[in-house]
Amino acid sequence: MLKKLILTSMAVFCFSMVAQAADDLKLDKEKSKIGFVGKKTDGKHEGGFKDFSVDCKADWEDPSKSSLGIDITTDSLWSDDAKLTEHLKNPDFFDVRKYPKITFKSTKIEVAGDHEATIIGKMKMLDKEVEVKIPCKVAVDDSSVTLEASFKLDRTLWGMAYGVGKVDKEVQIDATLRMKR
Amino acid sequence: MAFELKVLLESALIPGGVTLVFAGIAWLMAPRISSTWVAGLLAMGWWLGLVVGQCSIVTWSWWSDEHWQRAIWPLLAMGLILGPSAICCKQAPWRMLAQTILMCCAGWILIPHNDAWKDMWPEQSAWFACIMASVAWNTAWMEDLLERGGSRWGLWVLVASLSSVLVLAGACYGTMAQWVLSLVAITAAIAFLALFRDSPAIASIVPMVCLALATMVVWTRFRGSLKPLWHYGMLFFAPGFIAALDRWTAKLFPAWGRILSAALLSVIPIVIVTIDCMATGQEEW
Repeated sequence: MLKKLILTSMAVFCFSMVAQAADDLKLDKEKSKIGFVGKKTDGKHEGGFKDFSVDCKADWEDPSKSSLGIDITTDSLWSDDAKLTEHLKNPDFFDVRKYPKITFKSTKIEVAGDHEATIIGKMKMLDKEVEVKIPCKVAVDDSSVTLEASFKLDRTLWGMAYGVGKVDKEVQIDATLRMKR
Repeated sequence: MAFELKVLLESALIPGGVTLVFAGIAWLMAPRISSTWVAGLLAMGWWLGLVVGQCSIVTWSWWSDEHWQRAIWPLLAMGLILGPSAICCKQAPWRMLAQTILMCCAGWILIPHNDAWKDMWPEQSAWFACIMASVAWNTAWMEDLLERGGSRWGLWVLVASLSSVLVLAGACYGTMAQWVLSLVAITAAIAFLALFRDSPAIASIVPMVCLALATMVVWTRFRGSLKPLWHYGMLFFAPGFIAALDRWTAKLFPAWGRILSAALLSVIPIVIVTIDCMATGQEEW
């Protein structure tokens, strides 16, 4: 009985040590954004998502063991043109009624130096999961961690193929996630 | 291929061409077969054109998740039952009953009831009633117009009404607008042939066009922002209103006066919808 108790205590102690090494970070919504720029033959449009949540665990000792999960509410989509916003919410693009969420879950983080990393993970959109690599800049200070990413995604990989030939397949994503420590 | 050219080809020229071929065959065979058969061939030609259009616009599905794409099935039933019977037994009670049942079934199939549309549930019965009223009103008056010497040009009233829905759909949902473009093309194909020969058989496509029109008006609401209610009223009932007014203009003017009056009235909804779509302001955020 005593042996069992000691083993349990040791397990709890080890677990709490691990938990201390991996901090849960909280999203600072005011200073975070997920935006996109879509280009077409005769111009471009900016847009983004107003509502998203982040589940980020930072491992300070071994940053490659950190993890990042993002949940985007597709209905919170905005763009610089009201008609375009309506169109983007329809099945030609995001089909927000059928697919209310876009999710990203990191599977691997490759750290390159003190301020750069590549987050590799699965992005699920329109019910299709595709692996993406997100190069990002990392800034860490006493009170926060900021991830800044600017990269391109090929929307047709998720079956979002409307308007190809007029609207570019590749969409520029600009995201800033500021998380409080 | 440029996007616009692809849309024109897949949504308008190919479906319109298919219908034109079918309608042409029906026209050529008209002296040798009964009008009921001609009517049936026209209705099927119209429907096949739409199916070809749908196949080129979206991946084929027997029962699509997008409810408006399911419209091909109620339209087929309408074409088979109400199309040929528009010639042989237009006023038969069974036809009226069949039309009512088909409209109810169509409304049920075409209006979404699942949880994703929860926010629209309170509006749905009103839209359902609008589909019923619009199809009954437009079909009755358009059949009346075609019977009263309007068979050579009457279908253009429906083409114009579909065009106003096309403008509205184009402002919010490209794939749906392409589908409406197919509707415009296949209806215009038959309307074009009707210019050259007077035939009662063209009435066979009227119930189908009226159902497609009402359905797509409702879907511009489901997939777009709410417009002033009178816009929907205008789009739902314009063809029937123009056909009803023709009873009065027919008494005052010769054929050209009737055509001119119908043409002017048909253009009004297109102009109103176009102005409204162009005037939509920028989103504030």
